[in-house]
Amino acid sequence: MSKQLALVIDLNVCVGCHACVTSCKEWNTSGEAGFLSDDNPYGRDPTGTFFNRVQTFEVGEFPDTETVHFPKSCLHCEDPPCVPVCPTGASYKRAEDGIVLVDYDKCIGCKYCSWACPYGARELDEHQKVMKKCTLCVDRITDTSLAERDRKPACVLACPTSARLFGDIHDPASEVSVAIRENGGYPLMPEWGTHPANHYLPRRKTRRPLHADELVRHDNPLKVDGKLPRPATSEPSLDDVTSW
Amino acid sequence: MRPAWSVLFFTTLAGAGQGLFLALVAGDFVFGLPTPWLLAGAGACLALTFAGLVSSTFHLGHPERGWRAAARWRTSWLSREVIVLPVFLACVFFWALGLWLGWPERLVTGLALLGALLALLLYVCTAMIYACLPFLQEWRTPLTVCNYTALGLTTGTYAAALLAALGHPPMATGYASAALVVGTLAYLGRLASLLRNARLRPKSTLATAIGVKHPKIVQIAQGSMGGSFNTREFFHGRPREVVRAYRLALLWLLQPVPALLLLVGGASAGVLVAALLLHYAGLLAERWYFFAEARHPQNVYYQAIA
Amino acid sequence: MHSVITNAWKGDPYPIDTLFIFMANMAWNSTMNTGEVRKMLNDRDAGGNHKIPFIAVCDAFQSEMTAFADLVLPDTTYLERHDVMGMLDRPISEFDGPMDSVRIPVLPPKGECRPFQEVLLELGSRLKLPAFTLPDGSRKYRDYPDFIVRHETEPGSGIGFLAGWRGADGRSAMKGEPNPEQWKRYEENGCFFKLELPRSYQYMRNWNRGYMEWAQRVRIRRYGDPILIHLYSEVLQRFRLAAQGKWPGRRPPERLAARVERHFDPLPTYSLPLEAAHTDPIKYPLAAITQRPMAMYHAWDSQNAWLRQIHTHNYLFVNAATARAAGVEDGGWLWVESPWGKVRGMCRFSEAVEPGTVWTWNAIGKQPGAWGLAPGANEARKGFLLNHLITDALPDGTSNSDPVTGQAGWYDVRVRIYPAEPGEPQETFPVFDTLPRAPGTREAPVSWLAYVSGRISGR
Repeated sequence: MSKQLALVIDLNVCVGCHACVTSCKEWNTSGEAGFLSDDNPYGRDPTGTFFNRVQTFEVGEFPDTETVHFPKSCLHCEDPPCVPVCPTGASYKRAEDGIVLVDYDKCIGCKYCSWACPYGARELDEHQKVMKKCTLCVDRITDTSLAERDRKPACVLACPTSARLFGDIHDPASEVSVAIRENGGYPLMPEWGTHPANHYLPRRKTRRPLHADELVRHDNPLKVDGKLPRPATSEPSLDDVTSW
Repeated sequence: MRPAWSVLFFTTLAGAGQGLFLALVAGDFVFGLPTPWLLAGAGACLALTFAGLVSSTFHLGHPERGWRAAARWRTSWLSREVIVLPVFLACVFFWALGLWLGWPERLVTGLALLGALLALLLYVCTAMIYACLPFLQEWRTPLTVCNYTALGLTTGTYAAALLAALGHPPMATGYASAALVVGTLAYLGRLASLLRNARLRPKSTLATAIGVKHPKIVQIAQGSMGGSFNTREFFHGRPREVVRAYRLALLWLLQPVPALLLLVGGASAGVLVAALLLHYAGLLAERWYFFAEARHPQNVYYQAIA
Repeated sequence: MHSVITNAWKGDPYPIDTLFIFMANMAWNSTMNTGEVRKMLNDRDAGGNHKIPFIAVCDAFQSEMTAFADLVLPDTTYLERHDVMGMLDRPISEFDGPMDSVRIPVLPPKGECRPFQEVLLELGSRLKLPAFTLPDGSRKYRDYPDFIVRHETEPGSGIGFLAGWRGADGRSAMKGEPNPEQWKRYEENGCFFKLELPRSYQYMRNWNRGYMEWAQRVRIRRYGDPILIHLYSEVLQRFRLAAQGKWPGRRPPERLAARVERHFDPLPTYSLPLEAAHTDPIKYPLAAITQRPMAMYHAWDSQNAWLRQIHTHNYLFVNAATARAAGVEDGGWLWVESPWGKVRGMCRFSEAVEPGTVWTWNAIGKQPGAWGLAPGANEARKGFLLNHLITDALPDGTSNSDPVTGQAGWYDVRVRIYPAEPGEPQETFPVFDTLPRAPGTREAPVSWLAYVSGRISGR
């Protein structure tokens, strides 16, 4: 079966530090994707192009609340709705590794692919006027001049809690496949049949059931200090009976 | 979705051009119309469609690469539209040329039929750009194709009636009557889609968007506070009153007011100018509302900042 | 520490002629009672002379503090200077052994910037401070790298900033004579040093005899005794006895004796923050706290074009029930008031905050025109500081800090919240004057920019 590279993001581990956001921007603004511009960088309402954003949600009501930090980038769908709608073929999915990419020289900036993405993963760069999105750092993961351990997306390398895993989800033995299988990995918005390659691992609770009898000491604490009352030596004992 | 005026003008003007051509061809088939008037009509049709085409290029980040858009006709309705539109324009042009130079009647008739087919196909292509997106639930309905076609035909018929009043008065009443009938049918179709969309429930919720099973999920931060492409492109950002005003313009100007005007004032040039302009204003409102009403599922990810 | 400006202004314990600040935004988010402290920085005595006559500020950025400086010393960033995270800083290390690290510059300094350490060394040498001067009165250290290599905690102690490659031959670790080649060795080793302990020393180190022995020999510890948690602290009891006059030796000053006696309890105990005694808990029912956002945690330059898109202004996070009870709307403007001051900001409902507490991100709000931002930047219009609500001194004249540790009472303030009136301006309060453009900076900030391979494009 062909390869499908993807990220697996563990929401149980993500602390929402945005290190993946800035390292992504840092790598990609100088990378194959060309620059990622920022408008009003030092003025009112600064805004810019990013491939990856960390959002925050609150689930439930106090005191039963969970704060969920949620990194969001292109999910590299196995059936990407953004690809067939592109009129020029600029938006494409690589056969060899399943990465969904944009050919910036062919893109006419019609924004149609962004309409066709239910996740809002694509952003038009306001100054290059072409559509941009996560490339899984394709120019990095395929760069054989880098050490093997560095051939990973910038966000994965930057994550201080290792909440981001990277690998081939078609290989059942890969780290990402195992993580999805064993930790309940799930895709986003499954209702649209896009089959996202990126998966998320849910929040998980580690619970240790405690039974009432575990709270009771079985041994007498007085024994430890040698304070357990002793019967008087005058009381009957077995060796009286057996010593003949 | 944010309505882009370049797209609003493109779909309404080109739709009017196609409708006008269909009206001309139909009138000529049934009644046999004078060539000079048909030539003027063909000119108007070319002008409208071409104006729409020019307007559409303002939507592109790189219009100079626009020619590339013909590449993916096998999968992309946008690509198909990009191909059909110039072919339609060429067909209308040669039909007019044939009429003018007196080409053999079978050839001219063939061009007229081909042009009519292309006009209808172009409606389908334009509408399918929107109707083919599965998760824009407001657009994902055959009504979208019906409405684009019927509304384009209506505008074209109003335009044909006006041209008739100006250049071939005997046809004015006929075209005006056709506009009343076609326009009313189109209006009913549009009402049907409004009713349908009012009852839609979004399939995507925050629960499916982030994959957490809970009825109460609230966004606190969306990762950027000064806005992003996602907040600019997929939200119309206008207050509720403005949306309601567009909706009212749609409901009254699209057909009821122009129709009433025609019924009361008759098919004179003055009345038809007013009716066409009012209808076109209603049509722009209709197209604006078509976009503004569509709730993109990505919007659930962009609800709050902190 | 947090009272430094107040003390300088009061002349407590004595008047000073120069206030020297390094990378602490004491005119803004690094101080309590910001509004009053800003007045103190400019205040004059009866004779019309500044109460703090001369202020020198060293910073890498044009902050609210540099605006008060008589002399600004432009600092370098860490890319342009030598730095050490050495043994004297108690570096984090690893479980299996001590580690320390250095920075070696990768870029030349820009303009007139100089590393602050070099500036201090230069000053110390020119002032002929004993630590920087040889017996014959000449300069002892050439520069900061030289200082790092040759400084010892006491003459001949063998303990210096860096633990690695010590000794004349570079073979000692932790303790040893200065090694002139030390920087080179660090550079060869990727700028860090790690000493892996024998396996038997790696565990239970609080009472591992082998480890204790080793730690004492390399002078990590003075005594080789096991480290135990004291439920009854003899150390705290000694303070209490001293305050009671029952301990030979030093005693706390008379005015503080009662405070020391009360709070230096040898047994674990709970007491309310000192500030609670001066605040009406009915009028000010909420605790207000702040934290730095993770995205900016160690970023002094939160005006950075990317980081400020993530946090460009701040909200007060309030439990939805608490906010509704106060009549405050989600996203609406509200007043936050403590006995010491009030600020206006925006509210965000949260279910993740306890109903009796409110919180916000710290140091997002900026003075208009500071940090190279446009005066209309969100930080200046919508961002707010809680610092205005926190007092550095309590009404009884004592410092607002923990009576045992001295830790500043940043998290002790109590507040109340109420909605802003409909007619009020939709912007933060207090707002200070827009800072004038610093010399040599752009007329107007760029309208857009993009970084490409070390270059910046944009306009």
